[in-house]
Amino acid sequence: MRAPTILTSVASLVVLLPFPASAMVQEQPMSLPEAVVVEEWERDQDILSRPARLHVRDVLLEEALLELERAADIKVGYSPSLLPKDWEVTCECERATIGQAVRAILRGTGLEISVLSDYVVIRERRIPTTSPVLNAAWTPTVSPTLMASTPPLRMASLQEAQGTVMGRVVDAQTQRPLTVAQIYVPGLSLGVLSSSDGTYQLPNVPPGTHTIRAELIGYASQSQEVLVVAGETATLDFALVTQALALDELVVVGYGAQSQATVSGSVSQITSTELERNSASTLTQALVGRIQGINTRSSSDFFAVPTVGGTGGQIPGEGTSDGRPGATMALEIRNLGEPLYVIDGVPTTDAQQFSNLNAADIESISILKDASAAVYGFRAANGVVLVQTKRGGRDEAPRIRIDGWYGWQNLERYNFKDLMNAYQYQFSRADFDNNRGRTPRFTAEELESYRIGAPGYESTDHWDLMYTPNAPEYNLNASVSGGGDNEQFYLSVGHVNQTYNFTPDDNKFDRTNLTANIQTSLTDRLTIGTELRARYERHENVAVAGNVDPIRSHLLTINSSWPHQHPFTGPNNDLINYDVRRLDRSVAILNQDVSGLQDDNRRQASGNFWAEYEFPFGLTAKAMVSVGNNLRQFDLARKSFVAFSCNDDNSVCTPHEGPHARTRNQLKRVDEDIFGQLTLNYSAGFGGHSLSASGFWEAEGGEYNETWSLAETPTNYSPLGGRADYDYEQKYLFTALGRYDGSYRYADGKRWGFFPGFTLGWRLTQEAFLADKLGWLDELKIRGSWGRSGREQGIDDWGYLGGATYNVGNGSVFEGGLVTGARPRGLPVTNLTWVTSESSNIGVDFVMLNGRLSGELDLFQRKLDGLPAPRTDVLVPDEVGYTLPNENLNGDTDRGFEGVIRWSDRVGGFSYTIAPNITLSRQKQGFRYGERYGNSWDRYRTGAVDRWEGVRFGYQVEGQFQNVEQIESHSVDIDGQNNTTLLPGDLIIKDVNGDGVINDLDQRPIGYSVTGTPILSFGATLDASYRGFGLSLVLAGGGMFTHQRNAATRLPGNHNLPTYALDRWYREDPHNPQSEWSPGYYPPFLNGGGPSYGTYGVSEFWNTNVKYVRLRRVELSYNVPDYLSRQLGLSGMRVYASATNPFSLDNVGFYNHDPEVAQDAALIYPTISLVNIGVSTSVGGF
Amino acid sequence: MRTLRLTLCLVALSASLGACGDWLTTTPQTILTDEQVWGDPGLVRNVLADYYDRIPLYQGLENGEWDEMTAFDEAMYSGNPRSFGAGNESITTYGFGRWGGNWGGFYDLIRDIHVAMDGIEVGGLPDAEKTAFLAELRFIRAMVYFELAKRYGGVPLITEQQIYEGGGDVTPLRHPRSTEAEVYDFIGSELDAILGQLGNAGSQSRANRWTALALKSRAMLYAGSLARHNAEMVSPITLPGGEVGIPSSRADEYYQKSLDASLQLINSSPYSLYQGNFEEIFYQDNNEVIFAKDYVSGAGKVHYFSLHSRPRSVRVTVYQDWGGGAISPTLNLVENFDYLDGSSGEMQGVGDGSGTASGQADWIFYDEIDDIFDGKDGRMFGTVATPGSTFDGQPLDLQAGVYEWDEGTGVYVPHAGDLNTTYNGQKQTGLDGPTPSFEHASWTGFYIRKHADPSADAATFAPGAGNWWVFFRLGEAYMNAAEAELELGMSSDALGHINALRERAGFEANSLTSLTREKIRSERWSELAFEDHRLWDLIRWRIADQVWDGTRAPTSDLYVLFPYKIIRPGHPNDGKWVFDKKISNPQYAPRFFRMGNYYSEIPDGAIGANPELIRNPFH
Repeated sequence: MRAPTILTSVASLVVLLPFPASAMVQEQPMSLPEAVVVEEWERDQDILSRPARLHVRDVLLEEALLELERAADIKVGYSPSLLPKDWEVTCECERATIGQAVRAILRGTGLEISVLSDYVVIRERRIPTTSPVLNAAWTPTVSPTLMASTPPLRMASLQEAQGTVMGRVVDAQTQRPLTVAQIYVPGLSLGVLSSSDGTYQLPNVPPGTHTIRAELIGYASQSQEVLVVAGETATLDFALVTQALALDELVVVGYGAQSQATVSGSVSQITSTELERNSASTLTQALVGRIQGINTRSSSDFFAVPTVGGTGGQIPGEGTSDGRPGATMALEIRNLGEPLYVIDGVPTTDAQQFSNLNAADIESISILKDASAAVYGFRAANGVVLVQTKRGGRDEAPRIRIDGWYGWQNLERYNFKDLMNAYQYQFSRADFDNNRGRTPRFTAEELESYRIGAPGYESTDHWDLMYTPNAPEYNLNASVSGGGDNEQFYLSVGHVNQTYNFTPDDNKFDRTNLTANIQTSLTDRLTIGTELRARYERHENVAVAGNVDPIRSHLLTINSSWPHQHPFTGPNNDLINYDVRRLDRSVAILNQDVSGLQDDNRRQASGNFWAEYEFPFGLTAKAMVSVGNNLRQFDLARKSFVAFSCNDDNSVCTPHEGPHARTRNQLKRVDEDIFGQLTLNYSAGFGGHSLSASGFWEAEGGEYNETWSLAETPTNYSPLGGRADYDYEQKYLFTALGRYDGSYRYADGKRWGFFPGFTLGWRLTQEAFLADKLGWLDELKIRGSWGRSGREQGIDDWGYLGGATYNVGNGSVFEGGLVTGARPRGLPVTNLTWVTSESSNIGVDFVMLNGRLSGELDLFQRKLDGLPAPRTDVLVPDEVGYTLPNENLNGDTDRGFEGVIRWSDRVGGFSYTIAPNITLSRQKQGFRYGERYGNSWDRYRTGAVDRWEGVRFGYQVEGQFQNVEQIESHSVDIDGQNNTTLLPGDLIIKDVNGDGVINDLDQRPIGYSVTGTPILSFGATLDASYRGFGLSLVLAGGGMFTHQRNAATRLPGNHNLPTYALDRWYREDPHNPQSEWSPGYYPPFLNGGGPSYGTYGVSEFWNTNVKYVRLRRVELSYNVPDYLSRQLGLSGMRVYASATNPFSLDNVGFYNHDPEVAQDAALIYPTISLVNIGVSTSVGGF
Repeated sequence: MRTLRLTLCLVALSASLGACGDWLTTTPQTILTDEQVWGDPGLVRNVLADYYDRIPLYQGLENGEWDEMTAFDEAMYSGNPRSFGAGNESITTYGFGRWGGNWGGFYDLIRDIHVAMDGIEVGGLPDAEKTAFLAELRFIRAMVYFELAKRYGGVPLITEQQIYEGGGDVTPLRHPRSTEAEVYDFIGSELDAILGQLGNAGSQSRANRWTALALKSRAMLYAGSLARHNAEMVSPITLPGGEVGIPSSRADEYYQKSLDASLQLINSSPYSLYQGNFEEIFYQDNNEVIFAKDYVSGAGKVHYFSLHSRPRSVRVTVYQDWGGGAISPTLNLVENFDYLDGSSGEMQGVGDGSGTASGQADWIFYDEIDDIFDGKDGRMFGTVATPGSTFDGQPLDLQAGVYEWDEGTGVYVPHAGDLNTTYNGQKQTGLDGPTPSFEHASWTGFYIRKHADPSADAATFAPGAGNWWVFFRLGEAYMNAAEAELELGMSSDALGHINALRERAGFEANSLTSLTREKIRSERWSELAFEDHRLWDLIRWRIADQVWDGTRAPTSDLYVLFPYKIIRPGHPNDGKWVFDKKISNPQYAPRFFRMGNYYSEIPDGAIGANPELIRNPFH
């Protein structure tokens, strides 16, 4: 048995509310204004008269109290030193009141009870007194009742001879006052609780040197020595350090919450304190590196740009993914694919809704990685992300928090940042001609003119013209939270404003989030509440022609513009130059004045409305309805403009129409969602057994409509399910969960699936035989789980229906009017069902060395069965006019490992925590229906069964030719033309099969997936604090993924190239084909062969198997002492400076590539580096 | 509504959980049930709108269609090298599947037609409407089979829905190819059968009896010419089962059927030859068009033909890789148009561009740039935009360069550059080109005028162009009639029909007095250039392999006509215009049509799924 702590009440209780009220005990303030004492007393008696049922026999007193907490759902406060040791009690209390039950347990101990707020506080029997000491300690916010826990009898007699210890308990990191911390003198029956401002007063301490100990759930206990002199008051402050693994911390799991101690599934949780410390504008970025198993990578592709049918335009797709302001990055759990998000109990697959939540509003995020997710059924195969927003605390004085920061953004890594100047570029082109055996397109004189920058030969750095360093970004949050006994509220407003580094005035993003979470108790048993959220997002960009994604046009401009051409011309150099390579990719037009505005607004509003009723016998019922509305308005107003063609001395300029069409596109998309839920929770305990069970029924419906496609996509589900958590003495843990889920996607009669899951846990340290022997081991838990969930894949909406689809194709114009087309549908799909996902997990959690070292390790597997595929052996003739639908035929398996280790300690005033984590997860392809191979090579090369996913084939490289003789004597034919096209510097491709010729047969695995998330990812967090100063670091890294350099970064086509390409093989004089070769790293420019053969083919040379560690964030903070900030009317003030993505250690830096970008030409917005300073503070509240 | 359902559902929960099963049954707005569609004439019309739109086209006005106009000898592609048609200038051989289209796609449409026919049969429409719709569907099916036959010869004639019963046995679904003659016979008999049932009188966008006759006129002419000209080949192209190759004995029969249909159109139909400017047939309402695929500018169905083809100097929109000047008609086509005086259309007094005295010996020094085109067939000016002409009211700036007299060598020295350049203060190369290879500007000295709606709006991305693609017009019926008559030995009738068209083009009445096959073919090209006839005509005449024989010969090479201005101050020729006739940039390959191109290759996948399909010759 671990050392008992006070107020284990809520924390150790298996709370089965879908959304338990903020349950961190230390946040429950205990203020009790004097004036209401009488009323309170009456209500207190009401608590004691509530019915209770308790069955314990010969158990320790403390356990009996725990039982009672569970059974009656009350909170019991006590000082453990008060409880007699080895005191066993029995209570067969049926139809008792709480008061009766507690008194029955305490019979014979000399202890009695009182009620403080909704706590039942156990104290020594006392004689009412108006002791001066008590009065002295009675600050308006300290309850007199609280002081009752000091032994008044002794006080009365020894008062003159005793001393007093007083002080304040705060969080070491935030300096926030800590309420209900227990301060006691071990060995003496002396103890008090800290009040809501963190102060305490411990009277009646005998003179002498004492060790005073402060304890609080969620924090490491702290002992300090103090010299107490009779009649004097000694001051002793405590700054408690968060304990890394708080076994009593509540973990939100699907349809419930469990204490960390009794969780047996694989669940990671991140809470508000960590989330508040980030400067990412979207949530996804804030998570990476902090939790094992969470992974992200910028898209491998450009923004999806669906054509807008008939309206004459295109708009950027949803789910876009790169580093630009406001973009949603894809997040994956254990590389399994995109997860399901559940925000305040409401599920959604829309990553945007998650990504654009205000991080400051979030209480906790739980990641369900294994069978725990099965309770979410059809959409849970890839894991579940549970988000819970903040609530006001009960009996908490209104607390106003303000947090704001201002930052400067830069793009540290970008392939085309450093481009060749005019001379370097033209020299390269001449070199290129020379290598191809042609006369260079420039004379030596022209090249010389470029070199010296003679008039007319000047060089322009287009990156410089377009890129604005230190683009500003700021973030402001204000919230107020608090509550009385009946009402609690949390209200907040957040605003983020972020510009691009490309013309920041014209390309920007801002978002405002509003949240209101309010609940009120109508009666003792009935509580109603609401969670309201609104979001307004605006993406403002230049409506530049060409690519619809305007930022891609910006990126293309950099390397598509020739350095010898300037975007501006005219006598004053302020006219748009017509004579440039591409006028639709000219820096001159990249602003709203010239090209117009593309305005993309999103408004989202949602509200949950719920009512909860507590029955007297441990049952709680809750009903919730949630409605959501998402509006996207896209408005593109593209202007036309005039460009000028000037003569040599810029004296005469002729206007030309620019390439833009005047265009106006206004598009709208509306999403509507509705969700209803009924839940029942029941918990009970008897003996060492505790059981909690919950059941739920839900109906979910959604639909979106787009003005441009008439598309409608429903999402209708109607699950029924539940979970049951059982433990015996918190030693043997068992959870069963299941969901009977109905999906609209399947034909009537095939809609329902059952998805069960089980988790088992065994806390070895709870076993007496082990606990005695291994004193250094605080906690050891072995976990195992198995669960089944689904994935809806390869099935179209209403695929089971026949009939005809309206509005397909282009339609026809009959008699001058457009008639919408309708088309008979293909064969109804009735034999395809969901993909089954089976997940298994084995894990171990441990805490040792007095909580200093802890960790979680997991081995996992996910098996997918029934992946849709065609029956390749049934060939229906094309003349039939349809193809057979897919069937559930194939399978895949993901396997992996993840772990996190934490070390936290305190040396003097310096406390720190370091927690590295690692995840390895890879898919192995399983069964493939009808896989056939032409020959053994074909099988080797294309076979899938039992192969790891993401194997990249390419050529192996043995080196580079150093001279012509080496090429001539090389016995392997590399280019298919007896090496006649090769030049020094070309790659020596390995003839793997030894046939003397390089062809496809020589390709071997050289890397991993170029699009997927890293197979190996790792991260680390480091937090350290010293006297109010704090340092926090987050590292994120990855490996086992590949970046392939695209032609744009390696061949001099019509595009400019980065300067790193100067380090290549070239002939010193491009006008002399016989001149000496100058060696370099890169091969000579395109010597006549295309990308198909060796040098420019897919080979180890152009592929990089990326390894990186990135400093995701570093923050230096200082907690301003309240005695300083009080002057400003502020408390709990924290100032900080941080840097996000300041640098990365990796193997792609030599070509200036961002390791987290997958796109081969790197033409997507890279990861932003941000430096910011900020302050967060409470207003008032001392 | 949704809220109400949810509420009901929640209420029902307290009684019984099962009551909410309905929640999962959603009613789509965009999916129509069989009952809804086939009993509602409005919705059947929607289905027809889809089918008409899916009638296969080889050349047309949409992206992916117009670019094939630049794949043969009518025009060169001169647009963006990353856009539609890129690479057409350097085709060395045509792939055997190049104009085969999507084999499976044809049959998808045929299946959908059968689904609709079966649905309408039981759909409860009044009999009269039912009959008319069925006839219209059969017309579309006949169109599809005609398009299939043009490409592949005989194909499996599927005339009802094919149902796969499951169990893996697909042999009942495998049908062999019918003979080429059977397919044409099927088309003919279908059209005869529906002639009296089709409604849509007066429509130019849906099939009526005249549309059926127009298809019959063309299809039967094809069948007749295949029967006749295949047999005239040194080694006729046939398969033993008759899948390709129609017996020559049947030629007259088919010609006669075609002629009957053509004569009905010419003599009894409400259509008449349009007497306004020739090019207006293609973008203005007129009574010559029998059947067209129509578009509506700004209303959701548009094409970008004008955006792509509009001359450089007057282009309106550059959109991504699109930006005007993409189609450069060849001199081959321009010279096919006769002079109105009856002389051959070859350009008079042109140099060879060699820069030598002999290459300049034939020059005529023209006062004005358009003098050289004086007196040409009026249809030429409606088909191509020539130097000196206007487009949308604006004069074109076509000038390849200048020729400056060099006293020393006694020859004119050419100077040319990029678009819109000057030479010693004078205009050198025009903004419209021509240049040998500058993108978005003419490479040949000409732009296309046919199909190009000249209004500026039509050349934009939005609203886009709304002019129609003409499937059938009365002019073609005249040409079809003339060809059939000549083959049937009725050459005086043929002369009458040809001369009627020539008269409209500005020729004197009865300008031709005798007729040969070659003359009739040349007239057909002049009349129907860029209307997706050139390739198919050469195929059915069985002369494609000779016209495009892959050598540097007058018909397989593409020719350009570059105008230059003379600089010879003080000389009478100063400021005059000369022209060079050259092979287009010689790096580009001559057109080469192989014997295997006469019939398209049936895709391997189709043969794999149906081994009964016999491959076409040479594949």
